[in-house]
Amino acid sequence: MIVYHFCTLVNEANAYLIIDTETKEGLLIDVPAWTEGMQKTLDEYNAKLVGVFITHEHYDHTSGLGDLYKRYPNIKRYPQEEFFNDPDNEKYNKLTIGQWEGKILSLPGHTPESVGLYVGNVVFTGDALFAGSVGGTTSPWEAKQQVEAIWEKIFILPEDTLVLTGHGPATSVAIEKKFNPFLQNDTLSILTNE
Amino acid sequence: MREIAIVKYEFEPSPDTKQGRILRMPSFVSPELEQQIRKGSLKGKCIRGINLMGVWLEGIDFSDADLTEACFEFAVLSSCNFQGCKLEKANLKRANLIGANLDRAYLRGADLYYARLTCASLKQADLSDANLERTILRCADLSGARLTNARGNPIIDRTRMEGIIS
Repeated sequence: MIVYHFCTLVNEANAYLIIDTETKEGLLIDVPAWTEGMQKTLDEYNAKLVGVFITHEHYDHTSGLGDLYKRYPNIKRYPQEEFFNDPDNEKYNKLTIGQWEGKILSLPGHTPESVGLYVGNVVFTGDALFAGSVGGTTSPWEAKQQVEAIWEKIFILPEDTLVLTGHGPATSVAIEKKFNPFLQNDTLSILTNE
Repeated sequence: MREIAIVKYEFEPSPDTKQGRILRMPSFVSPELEQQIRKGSLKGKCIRGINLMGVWLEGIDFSDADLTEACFEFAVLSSCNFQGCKLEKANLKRANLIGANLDRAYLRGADLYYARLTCASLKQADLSDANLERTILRCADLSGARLTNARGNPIIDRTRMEGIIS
């Protein structure tokens, strides 16, 4: 499996292209813009783009969808609508890229429908979790919801899991557990004034 | 539209599961350097101008190394030891330097645009003429650091700044 990280000019948001080098299938994670490098990479591996995964509905993660659909009108979009009604249902929270099986993670907080994707030894977190930080929220309740989702869905993954975020550099579960000041043991008590 | 940067992550396949477990070094890293990185130490090495863009270098000992004008854009340098290291005019844009030790590091003219230095130690580091635009210094320790002519608007939050020279 190869993952290409594209830092785009749209608010410096990241997009990622996962390619299964054996089956030549590709999945795009977020589309701040459809870029020259994305098409060049697909061409280089003679890969077929089979889907697009959107971590959340903010413009800096979706602005390139129009251009993408022009090139790939039949591309499948993930998560499917049904996922949000039943995030624990394996029918909707599983995603296959070639021989790789990914799991969609519900990570509400930054937006109510923010999601991540765990595939291989990588988790794509969108704007829920950044290196040393977390996504912006509009209320303490949403901030608490986001912290809980990170602890329950991301921090249970193996420590060496590579974390690829919506903005900025890569990190790992171990680094974030150790250093992220927003995710330490006292965070929830501060958020809930306990 | 073009991109600001492209980084490639390639995984070694694991024989028993379909989980890719180990990140492969990019092809632009020489076998000799890769060997030293795998051993965890580049202490005192002179590798001026080296390109290590986007490379995973967590926990490596770079103390007293000469990394003048090296490129570490998007590199993961968390928990690295850069004590006494020469990083003059180094490109550290968008690098992950969380928890790194940069005490007494020479960062004159370095570009730290949007670099993440959360919980990093920069005691007595020389950041003169450095670009600190959007640099995240949350919970970092800049005690006694030199910031003469450093520019930009870094993110300062719970940052120790006693004895800064400006």
